[in-house]
Amino acid sequence: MRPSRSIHETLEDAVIPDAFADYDLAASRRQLAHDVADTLMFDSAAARAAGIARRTPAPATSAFPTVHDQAGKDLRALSAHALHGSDAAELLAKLANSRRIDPDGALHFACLLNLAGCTEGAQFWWQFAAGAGNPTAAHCLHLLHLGRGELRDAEHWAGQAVDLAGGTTAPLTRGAGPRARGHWRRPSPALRAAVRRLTVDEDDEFGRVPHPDPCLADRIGELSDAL
Amino acid sequence: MNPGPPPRDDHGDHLAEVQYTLPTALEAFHDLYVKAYLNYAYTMLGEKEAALAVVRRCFSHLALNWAQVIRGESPEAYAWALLKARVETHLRLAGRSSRMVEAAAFQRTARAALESVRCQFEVMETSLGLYTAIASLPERQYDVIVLLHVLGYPSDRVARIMGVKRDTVRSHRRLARRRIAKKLGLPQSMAADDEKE
Repeated sequence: MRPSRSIHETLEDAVIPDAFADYDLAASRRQLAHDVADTLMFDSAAARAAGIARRTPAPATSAFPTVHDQAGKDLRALSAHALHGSDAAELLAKLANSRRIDPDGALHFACLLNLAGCTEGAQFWWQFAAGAGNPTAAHCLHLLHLGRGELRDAEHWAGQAVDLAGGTTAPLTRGAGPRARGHWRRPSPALRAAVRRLTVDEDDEFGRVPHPDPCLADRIGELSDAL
Repeated sequence: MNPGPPPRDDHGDHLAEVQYTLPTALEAFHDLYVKAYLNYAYTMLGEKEAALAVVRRCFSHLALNWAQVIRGESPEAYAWALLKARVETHLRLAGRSSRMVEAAAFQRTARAALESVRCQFEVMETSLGLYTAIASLPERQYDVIVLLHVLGYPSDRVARIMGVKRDTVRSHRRLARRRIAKKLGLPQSMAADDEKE
């Protein structure tokens, strides 16, 4: 009996050829330079249509914020805000100590992992918290997916967040602090080191997922300066 | 008499006066990723012109924000998120869901692959079935399947395109394959096959 084809082989056969095999890279770069020059020379589409160019090009330093970039910043701001709350240490301790995992603690732990740059682990714990009914965690997942440009997944979690909040988005934004601005900063070494020391489990879906431990809760005050 | 504004058709000459040179790093970034972005966009949008337009605008945005982009955590991740969001937005504005299933080449190969499977298992599946199985994946797993299996890029390259670690690509591939196989009633790959790359 012939061995059955595996999914591996089935998928190998699905490859389609490069539709842009003869794409001219140099011409593409020239077009890009032209497009940028064009944008910098005309203040608006109307100006371009009227043939009214600036006397000198606009500086090429303006930042045009994108939804996905802002979502990443908002998520970090939300994570930091959650951890600055006075009960964060208590919740983290509860998470580490109790046999029944507390969803609020899971939310805070996820926020900590996110700030430490451990986004896969953060995603695991947010999904855990959202699965247990926490709307803020669902909102965090919405922002996480939005930050990756994953609009469909982002919308799914936005819907979940509203449902879990009882049909209103108000609880999510209340106390979330001002809209995040500024550049991304590398996670602090202290925070990364603390997270790296945590016990890690190998999860099927999320890979290496850290688990909270009591010592981390003790150090939350010390670490919050790093946030 | 005062000189009037430049004539409408004179943009080319006028722009020649503007000195804008692409930063070297941006040129390198462009050369490394533009074709991958075009192929991904084409797979999703089903039209070459649409793919060219979306990718062109993405690169304009990258160029105009380049100073910010390179200060961030990962220019690749930023660019990938930008591309994905713009592709999805384009699809929505055009009132369509992903056109991947309609790409003629994909249909041909998927159909051929499934024909052989059908004989083995007497499973009533079509290329639509394979597409549906793929389409129901979380977006990251979906993108990994498209980049690895529809476009045929090696996992190292996929990791760089998406701005993620190679381990991430591998685990998403493993999970995606498992889900698809389950949906189609196919046997899972042997562990050795899975880690072939």
